[in-house]
Amino acid sequence: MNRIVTGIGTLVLVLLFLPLAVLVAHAGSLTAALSSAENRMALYTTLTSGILALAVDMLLGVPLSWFLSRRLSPGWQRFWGTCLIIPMLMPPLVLGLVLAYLAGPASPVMLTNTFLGLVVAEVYESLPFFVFAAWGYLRTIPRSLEEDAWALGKTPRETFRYVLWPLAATGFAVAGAMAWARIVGAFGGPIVVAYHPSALPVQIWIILQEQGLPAALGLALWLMVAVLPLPVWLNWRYGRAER
Amino acid sequence: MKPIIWIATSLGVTALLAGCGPKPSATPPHGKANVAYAGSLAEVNDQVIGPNFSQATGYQYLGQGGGSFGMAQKLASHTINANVFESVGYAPIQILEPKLTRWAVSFASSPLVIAFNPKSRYGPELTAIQHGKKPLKDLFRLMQSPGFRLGRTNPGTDPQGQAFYMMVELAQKHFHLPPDTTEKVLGAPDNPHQVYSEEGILTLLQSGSLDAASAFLSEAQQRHLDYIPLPRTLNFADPSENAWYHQASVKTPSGVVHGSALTIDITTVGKVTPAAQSFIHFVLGPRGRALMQKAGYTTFPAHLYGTRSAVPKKIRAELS
Repeated sequence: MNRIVTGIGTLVLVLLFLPLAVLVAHAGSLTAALSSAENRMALYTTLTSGILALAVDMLLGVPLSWFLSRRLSPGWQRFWGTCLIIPMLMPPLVLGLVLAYLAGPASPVMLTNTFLGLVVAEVYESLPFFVFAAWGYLRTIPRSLEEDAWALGKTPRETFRYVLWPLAATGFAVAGAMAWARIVGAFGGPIVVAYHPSALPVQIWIILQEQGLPAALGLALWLMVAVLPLPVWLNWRYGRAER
Repeated sequence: MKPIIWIATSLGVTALLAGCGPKPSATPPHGKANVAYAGSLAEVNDQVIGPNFSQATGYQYLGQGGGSFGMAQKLASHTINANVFESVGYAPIQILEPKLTRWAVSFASSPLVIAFNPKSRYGPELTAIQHGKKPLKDLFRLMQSPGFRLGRTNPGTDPQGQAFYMMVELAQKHFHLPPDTTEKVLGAPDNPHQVYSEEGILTLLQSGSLDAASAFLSEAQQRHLDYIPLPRTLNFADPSENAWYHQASVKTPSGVVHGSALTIDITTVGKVTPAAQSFIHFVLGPRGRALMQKAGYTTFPAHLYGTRSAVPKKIRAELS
C-alpha cells in the first residue's frame, strides 16, 4: 500500500512540475526578455498592482471571512457558502465582459485602461478565492477558545488580536498565497478592461503575437521568478509557525 | 383507385422525394478540416462556412480562432494543430513560409468601418454622419474633441489596428485636413488611452465605455452595431487601391508597415490533406463566396501569393 501511495505521489509531482520543466527548456533568453522597456514595465506593473490588489483582498477578505465564520448561524453559513461559489465559478473572461459595464459608465470614474482598473480586475478575480480559503480555515478553529478569552475578561478586539489572529495567521497566509496566484495570473478581466497598462499575462500574450513562442515563454519565466518569493515567504514564515 | 395503383404512386412519390434531398453517400469521406483562423472570422467560419462545408462534402469541420499573427506563431511553433490557415492579410502567412506552406490565395475582404455607440454623448453627431446628413470629413474633427473616447486595436499585433491608424493618415490626405490631424486623433500608434484588445474592444463599445471604435463591417453586422461606412479609398478592402493604401504607414515594434488591402487569405498548413483541400475548394467556390458575401464580406477573383506549383491541383482549378 505504501509503495502504491509513494508511486502515485511521485507521479503527481512529476506531472505538476512538467509544465515548469517545459517552460525552462523552451524559454528564450531571460536577459533578452527584459531588454525591452515594455516588458520591464509589465513586470513592474504586475508587482505593484498585485501588491495593491492583495492588500485590498486582505483588507476586505479578513473581516468578511471572520464575519461569515463567527457572526452567522450555521444555516446562514451554508447559504452564503453556496452563494460565494458563484463569483468563484465565474470564468475570468466572463468576469472581464461584466467588468466592462462596471468599469465603464456605471463607475464614477472611467476605469478602463487605467492602473486602478487593472487593480479592480485583479481583485475581482482573486477575492472570492481569498475569502473561501480564509473562511474555511477559520471554521476549523474551535469557538471555545475565544469564549474562554471572553470569560477571562478580554474584549472582542483583544480576543481577535491575541487568540484568533495567531491561530488564523496560517490560514490567512494560505489564502493570501492563493489570491496572489490568481492576481498575478489574471488575464480574462485585464484583457478586456485593462489592456493598458499591460501586466505580465497580457504582455506575454502581446509578445506571443509579435515575436513568437520562445520570446513569450522567456517573459513567462520572469513571471514565475518575480511572483514566487511572496508565496514562498508566506509558506516559510507561517508553515513553520503552524508546526 | 385500385390498391396496386396506390402502392405504385406512393413508391413513385417516395422515390421522387428521396431524389430531392442530399444524395446519400455510401462511404462518407474520412478526415477533418482543422481550420485556424483570424478571430474576426469566427462567426462566418463556425456558424456558416463550417456547417455548410460539412453538409456539402461529408468532411468534418473544426475551427479555432485568435489574432492572425498569434495563430501564425502558434502554428509555426507547432503548439496548435491545423491543416488550413485563414488570416487577415498575407503577412501572418509569411511566418509559416517556407516550412509549412509556400502559397496563399486572397479571395475576400471585410471593409473597415467605424462602429459607434448611439447612446454616447457624441451619438447624435455620429448618427448624422452615418446617415449622410453631415459629411464624413466631420468625423475626423469630431474624434479630436476633448473627451471623445475612441478605441482601436494594437497595430503591433493586429492588422486591423494597423489599417485603422493608416486610414486616418489617408483621410488626412483625402480630405485635405490639417497636417497634425493624425497626431491629434490617434496620438502614438500604441496610445494607451485608445488601444484595447481585439477580444475586448467591441464589448467596451457596447457597454458604453467607448464612443466609437474600429471594426470590420462583418463584425459590426454580426453584433448589430451602428457603424459609419468608409469609402473604398479608406476602408482597406479593395486590392485595386493598394497603390493608394501603400502611401500610408505605421511604425510597429517589428518595423514600419505600409498599407495594403486587408484581404482574407487562405492556405494549407503542413501536409496537404484531402479535407483541407476540399475546405479551401469550397470556400473559393461559388457557394463559399455567396456565403461570405451574405455575411458582409466583399469577394473578388482569387489572387495567388507565393509559388503557383505548390498550390494543390484541386485548388489551382479555382484560380483560373
